[in-house]
Amino acid sequence: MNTVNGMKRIFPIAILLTASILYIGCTSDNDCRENRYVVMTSNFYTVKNDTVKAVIMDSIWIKGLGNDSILYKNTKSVTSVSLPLQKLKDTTRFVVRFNAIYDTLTLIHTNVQSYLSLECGCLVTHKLDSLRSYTSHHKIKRIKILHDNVSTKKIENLQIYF
Amino acid sequence: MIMSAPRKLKIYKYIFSLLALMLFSQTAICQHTKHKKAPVKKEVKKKAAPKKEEPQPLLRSVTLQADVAAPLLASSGIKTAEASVDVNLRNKWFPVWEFGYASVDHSANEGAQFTTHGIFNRIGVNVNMLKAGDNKSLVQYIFYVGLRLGFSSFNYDINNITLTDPYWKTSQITDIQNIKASARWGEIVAGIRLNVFKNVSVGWSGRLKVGLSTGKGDYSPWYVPGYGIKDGSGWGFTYTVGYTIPIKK
Repeated sequence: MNTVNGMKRIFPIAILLTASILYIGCTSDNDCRENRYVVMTSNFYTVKNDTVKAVIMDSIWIKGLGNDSILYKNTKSVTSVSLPLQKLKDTTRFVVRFNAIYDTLTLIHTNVQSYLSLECGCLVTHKLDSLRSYTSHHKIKRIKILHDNVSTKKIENLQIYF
Repeated sequence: MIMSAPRKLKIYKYIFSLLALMLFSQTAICQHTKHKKAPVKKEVKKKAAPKKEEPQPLLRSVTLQADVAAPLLASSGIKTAEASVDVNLRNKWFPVWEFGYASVDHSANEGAQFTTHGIFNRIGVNVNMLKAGDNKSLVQYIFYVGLRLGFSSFNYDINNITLTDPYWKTSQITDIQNIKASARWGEIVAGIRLNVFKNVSVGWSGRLKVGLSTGKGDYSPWYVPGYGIKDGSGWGFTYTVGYTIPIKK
């Protein structure tokens, strides 16, 4: 009787293990769920009577220099823009138009590649060079790099002053 | 209807065999062959003449097992083979050494390809949670829990890692080859083993793998031999067929 009782006791375990094996054998997951969206965030400011104030731009147009794709096409009431830096080059230039006035932003940066996983591939983040980055001065007066690490965290990297 | 003990025993064995066959075919139910085995009479005799139990001999048997489910459960590009040796101490403690080999050639959705091959070892002990039985015969079935320490040494390649810059319309493909790696981890195991015919047994085990360490480096393996997919569920299962060599004194 002991043998029968013993089998009775291990029987539910056998059922459970078999079901688990069959279930696990049919499941797989190949998708990347990591955030790989890296953009430089820039806010607009002006200085009046030695006081820094945020500025809302009536209309703004931005595209990458040498790139046909327009990032902001006469977008209204803009206080902040998110700009993608080049992942495979260390210099990124953007053409910025305010009504009919053009400026060119030149950002010098180093790119840091880090391997995430087989599904996600590599993430590229950037470190801005505050000394070598510059701008033309038609509408824009100056730029200031506030946080030089451009990553998946949305923080204010660049201040653009008018 | 009241069934006799030998008949119940046969029915249970029949069901266990069906579960085993399900693992092979996943759908088919095949015919069962009868097993001749009736240790019940001995147990009845023993009850009739109870004696003061002598302590169990230390070394009872050695069992060799092969995991026959691993090749069947392998998903695309993963090939594994695994075997184990355990020693039966007093029908209670079962020190075990598991060893195997894995070879992987897997492509991710975005085109990156991971290949590896390597050996693995796990050492640990199982504890029989059921009554150890008398001191003359080997246990015919065990339900055990156990612990393992796993070790693996392997090389891997990651090819065709594509880095795309959609706005600036540039891309780069990187191949990383012959990365040497080693890994260690722990496992909590529960399972059963049942003697089905003479010294032949079948067994199931489920295990939770924890604390994987693959060391520091710029890259990490998608699959670790003996552990499985690095970012997977952490669960592992085995279905084994074994042969027990009794040790007589």
